[in-house]
Amino acid sequence: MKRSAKKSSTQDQSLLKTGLFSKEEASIFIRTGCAHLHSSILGSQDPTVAVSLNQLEGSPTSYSWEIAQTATPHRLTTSTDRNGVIENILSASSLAKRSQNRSRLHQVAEELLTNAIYHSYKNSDGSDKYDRREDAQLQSEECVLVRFAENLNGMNLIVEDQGGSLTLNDFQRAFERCYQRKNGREIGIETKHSGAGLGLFMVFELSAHIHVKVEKKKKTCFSVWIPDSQQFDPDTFSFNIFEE
Amino acid sequence: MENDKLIIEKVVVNGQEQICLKGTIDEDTDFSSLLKENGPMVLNLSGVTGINSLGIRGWVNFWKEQAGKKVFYVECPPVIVRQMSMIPSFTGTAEVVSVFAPYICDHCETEELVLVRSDEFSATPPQIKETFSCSKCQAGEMELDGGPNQYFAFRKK
Ligand SMILES: [Zn+2]
Repeated sequence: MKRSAKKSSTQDQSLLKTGLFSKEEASIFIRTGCAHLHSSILGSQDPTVAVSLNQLEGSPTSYSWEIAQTATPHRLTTSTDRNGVIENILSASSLAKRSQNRSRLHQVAEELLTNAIYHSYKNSDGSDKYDRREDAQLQSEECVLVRFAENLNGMNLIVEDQGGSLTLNDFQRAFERCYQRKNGREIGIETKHSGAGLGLFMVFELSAHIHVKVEKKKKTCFSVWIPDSQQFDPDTFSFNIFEE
Repeated sequence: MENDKLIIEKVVVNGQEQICLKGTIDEDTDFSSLLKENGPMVLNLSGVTGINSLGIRGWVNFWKEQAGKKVFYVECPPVIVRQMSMIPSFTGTAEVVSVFAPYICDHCETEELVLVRSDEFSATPPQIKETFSCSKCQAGEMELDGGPNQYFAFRKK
């Protein structure tokens, strides 16, 4: 695992972008293959950039905002438990006592949990194992783990599935559709598509930091930082996906 | 027509007929009852408490098929304003008449929604109250929860 990360580090580092971007500009970099992007007034001096570079070198350091890593996980085994888990998180959160924080956290959590249940487990032909129009009962080894922690500045939500099927390409396709519409082109939201893409787009728009770690066919760890609404700075965000 | 998560009902407000949506919009929402309406439609969205990606998709596709219809959104709550800012096709060809802006007290964190009309939010910068006294604690100032440019981003789209 480490070796392959090191082997590809030169290539990956060239795909690390730093600067000051809008989310829409960032989406263009991501659509052209950028898997590591940091927007900050500090540019390449932003401390989160060093963490990304370390990770590319195979050093398993974590971002300072990932405060939920050691939190006790909520275990999710059925789609109908989603609301219960989300309500548990919301009721334990101090920041979510304010409706703007609550509503954004609710929206992000719902999309991440839904994607974890319905779009991470695949049949051998690559299609989704569980149909989003039906209730899903996960196998015991497919349990989705949800961790949450917060501080005065914001909230960290980590959703871990045991499918490991998310790719950079999923984000690229989602942004392609959603941001193209933003540019005024009349592109409808596909009716056939299961909806995973729009969910990813929404999570990207509502979060400041995203860190996704994928162990192919084993596990996806999707970690987001949602800043407190009063401290939200649209220019400060990062996106990192590590596929192993 | 409707499910227990979203109630769609007609009310008359100041002599104007409005269609009120109350609850959450998701994959189970059936918008077909809105098809029975002829003429301009005034949708009062103040009762919408949540929406997910499949609800957004259903909403966008439903209104796309009703492209010729004159639709007005009134009293949009913050959760709807956020979708309008993120996804321009969420508004489609509808005219946004008024939105609620969320204010919060910097002292006791009491929240209050303030209605902002289109002539106020269309101005540059938006003509909204910067602060006002909290009526609950009388000690703090109410201010918009989040920056105005961010909150009213849907205007540019
Ligand atoms: Zn107060």
